[in-house]
Amino acid sequence: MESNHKNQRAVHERVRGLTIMGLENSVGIGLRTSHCERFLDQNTPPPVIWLEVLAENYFDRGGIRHKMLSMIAERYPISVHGVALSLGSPEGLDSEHLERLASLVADVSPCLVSEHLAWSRSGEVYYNELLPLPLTDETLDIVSANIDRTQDRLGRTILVENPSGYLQFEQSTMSEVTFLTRLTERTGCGLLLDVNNLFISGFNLGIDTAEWLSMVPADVIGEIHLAGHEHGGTADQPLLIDTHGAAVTEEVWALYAAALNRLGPRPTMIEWDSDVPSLEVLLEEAARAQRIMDRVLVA
Amino acid sequence: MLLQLQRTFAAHLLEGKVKGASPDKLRVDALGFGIHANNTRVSLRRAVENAYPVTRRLVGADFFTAMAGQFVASHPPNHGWLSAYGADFADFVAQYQPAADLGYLRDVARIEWARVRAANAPDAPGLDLTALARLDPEALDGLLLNLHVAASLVYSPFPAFDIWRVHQHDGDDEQLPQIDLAIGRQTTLISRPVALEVGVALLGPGDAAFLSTLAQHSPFGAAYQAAVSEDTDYDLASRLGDLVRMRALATFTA
Repeated sequence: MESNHKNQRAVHERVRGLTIMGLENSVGIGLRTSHCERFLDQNTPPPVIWLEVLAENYFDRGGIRHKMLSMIAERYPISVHGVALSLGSPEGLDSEHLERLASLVADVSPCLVSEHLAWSRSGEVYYNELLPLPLTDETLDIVSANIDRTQDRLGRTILVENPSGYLQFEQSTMSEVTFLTRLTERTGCGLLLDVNNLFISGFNLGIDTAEWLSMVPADVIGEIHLAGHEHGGTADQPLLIDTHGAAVTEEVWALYAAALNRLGPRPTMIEWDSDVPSLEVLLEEAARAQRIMDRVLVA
Repeated sequence: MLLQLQRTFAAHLLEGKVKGASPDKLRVDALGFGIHANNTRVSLRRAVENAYPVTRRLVGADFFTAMAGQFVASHPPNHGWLSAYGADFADFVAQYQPAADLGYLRDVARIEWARVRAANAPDAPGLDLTALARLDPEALDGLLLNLHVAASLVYSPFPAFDIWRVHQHDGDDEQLPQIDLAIGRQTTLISRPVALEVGVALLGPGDAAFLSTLAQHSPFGAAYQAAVSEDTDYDLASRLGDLVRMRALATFTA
């Protein structure tokens, strides 16, 4: 009962937030250091509706990066995407991390705040990698508690991103889409659907991507990510690796179109953060995503 | 149960020697585990590389990869934000045996870390010369001034500033001017003179003595004496103007 209530509130908040911003049908790109100056150019501001930043890059309150972001946030709506909160930590969240995230959210009033279904910390060590979780009731309890604490502190709901999978645990007792759906019911959080991650998990782990898309409740998806991947693994066991360092592949574009047909238009973001190309390349990728979304809007 | 699983998983992320080995107890796919282990090591090493580009140029990419890899394994980060990661790399470099004959390497690394610090330091006002001018001579003499929160001094027995300066860009090493190590000691000031820029400047002997004495919490008068003993012509009024422009000193409360 309570969770249903939370969920309704969350959906309402998401829709309201995005509508106010006018972002519900638009494509953004990730803000990268090498492009910052372009977004501060008064005369020819790049034609992009909104920008997403990696939260932890702006955890120093003050300094050059924070100043640049504050200036850019006056001109563009900002989405804050965390990569290191470690929602899957049974040890609980790092309080200082959560406080710094809360300060950033207070500073830039983001249109969206998102994190990952992952862990990246154990004991005193932080591993800087989105590490996988066994999908069990125990994990669901732990991640739910951490999301509750985050949302309470931020005073808003967050979106949780599906991981790119390289391995599975024997202990898992439910599918990824079931786990994520239950997470939204428990906490009122939304989901960030990373289409590239879903494609990678389909290839690497045999997740049925069509089934995933048909099972997820459409109204919990608050944002979509698109990115490139690379081929790895061995000849016997090929694996796709999520690198955020290449163009979106044709197969991922096709899966994106399928996702939009099922879910309706969603704010979409081009995520390219290693071997960062020129801003023009990112804008071309964004334009392609926008064309796909516009076709869904017309249909 | 999840707690124990993560401890076992984590214990092998940084120390695994064989590519593709996964902890027996986890019964997870070795290749998949190897991707996480590799991502962990490479991403942390890149974080160090990003902070120390000149150090990397000085030793070459392969040497640096090995050195940074050992640093990452022995000094993994404790926080999920990496702007503070790598602070102790210069000390690591100083005791890294294969680099033992590059005495200046640690000091170049210290300059690089001071730049990271300067870029990320909180915004704070610098010393206001008019406030200084209002003090009577006795008060000025006993005044304790701190370095600005974004400012650092790097003293080196080597010409570390010159070495740092000529290696700013990737390029053909043969084109670079040779630095004569016999030039000897140099003190470098790293600071944030304006909101969006880090400055790196070589200090003259007088400025170096003046600022390092203040940084050791000795009063203004003693700092001036130290400057004059290094440089008998030390012109305090004009030098203070330059140091304030570089935002080397913090504001004070009288």
